[in-house]
Amino acid sequence: MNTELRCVDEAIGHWLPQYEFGLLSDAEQASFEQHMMDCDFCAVELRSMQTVVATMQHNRRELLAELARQGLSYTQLRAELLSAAGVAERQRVVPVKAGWLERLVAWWTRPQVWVPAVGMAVIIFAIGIYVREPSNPYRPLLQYEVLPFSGVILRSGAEAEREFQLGSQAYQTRAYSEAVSHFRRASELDPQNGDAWLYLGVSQYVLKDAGAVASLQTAESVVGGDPERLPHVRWYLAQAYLYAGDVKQAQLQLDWLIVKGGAHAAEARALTEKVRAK
Amino acid sequence: MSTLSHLDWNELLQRSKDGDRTLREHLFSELWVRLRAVAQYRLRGWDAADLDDVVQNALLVVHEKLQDIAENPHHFALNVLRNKIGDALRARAGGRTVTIREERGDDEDFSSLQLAAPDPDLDAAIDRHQLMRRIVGVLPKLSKFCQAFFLASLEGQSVGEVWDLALASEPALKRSAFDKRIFDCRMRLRQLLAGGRDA
Repeated sequence: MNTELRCVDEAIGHWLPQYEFGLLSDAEQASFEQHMMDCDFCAVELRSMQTVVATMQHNRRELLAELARQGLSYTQLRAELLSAAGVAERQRVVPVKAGWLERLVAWWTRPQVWVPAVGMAVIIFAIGIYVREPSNPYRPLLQYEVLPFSGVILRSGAEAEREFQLGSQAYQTRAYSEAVSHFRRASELDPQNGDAWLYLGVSQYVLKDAGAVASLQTAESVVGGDPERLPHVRWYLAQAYLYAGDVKQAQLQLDWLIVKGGAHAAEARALTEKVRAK
Repeated sequence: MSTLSHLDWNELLQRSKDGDRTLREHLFSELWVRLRAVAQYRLRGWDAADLDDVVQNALLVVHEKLQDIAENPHHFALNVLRNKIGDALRARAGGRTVTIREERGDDEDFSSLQLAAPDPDLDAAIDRHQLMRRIVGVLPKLSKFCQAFFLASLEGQSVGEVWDLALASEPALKRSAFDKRIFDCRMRLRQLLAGGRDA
């Protein structure tokens, strides 16, 4: 055991076992990894139990079976701990091995879930009746494919970089809503970061968020004439304009891509044909 | 494992860039250990060789870009690793092809089938079995709360389930104290597996 090393931030360092067993959220996981890179204590501890944790997780069925033979199971321990605390076992107990459908049904039948959910549905329906968007015949032409994330080197402030890292992590695991919040924060902290605006716009576009146009417009002004980034910005801006129903602006972007050639030119040509056919 | 208590990452980076080969090796050695741990926990269930490949690919990028890195090489390396993990996950998800063999019927010819090769890594299999026996032996020595945490994890329960359980007996328990308690459980497990030598 390490008697000399100390964790540099125990509030995060104490998440170590939860990290080892995959119990942290994506954001917590990213925070812990960031912490571990700075903390010798956690790095050493993580290394020390790698084999044990891997063995436990790869052989969990066998371990659970062996422990059950010794009379140990989570259900039993739970009952013992609750009994010791003088707490009656709740009647609503979802079986440990319940499938996703049983768990979903059990969750939905809780009044604190279905009552507000029904209320929200009524409100949204009422709003929908009074606020109808004009139909947009171009939306069915759109593909909503994300821009592959390439390695981006940032040299902005530490917090902006951290937010961008969290955003990129969420983006690559398709958690686009989370990606939007992190990229938005990164772009607020570093308004000259074209990549933050670009990936914010792409994430919003994939989510069919009307804010995509503004983000991508900003990306366009920030990246300037960058030959590597500008085609990506214009391609997604074209699609975002189409989604918003602004065919004229969309076509300007598509024409630029076709004339420029290179990245997204073929896609722009194909989309232009489809738009003209409408 | 060595530590960087006497040299910080930025100093290590600068001296590596200045041509100190020993420190450059030290830098990459430290990065390897940390990144390998992250890869293992991000890509659960992947075999060691594939994990090594992902980390190696990340370190190659760090090596190539070393002169361009201004500061915090460890954060840069972690970012690169995350990208490589994303690439590896996408490649594994989208790259598989499946071939469908024609049905041959009941008189299928098995003569062309090859017997599975015996496990070449028998020592590793034995070590794993012994380790599992040790784990099974020490888990009952932990407190009931600690046992509940590890069993819940093995059974696929969320940490929220264990948190609810802790709150049932201690409603005023703070989340930070709960995290510390689980951390102590893990340290106790480690101590017991080490045979109590590190008490």
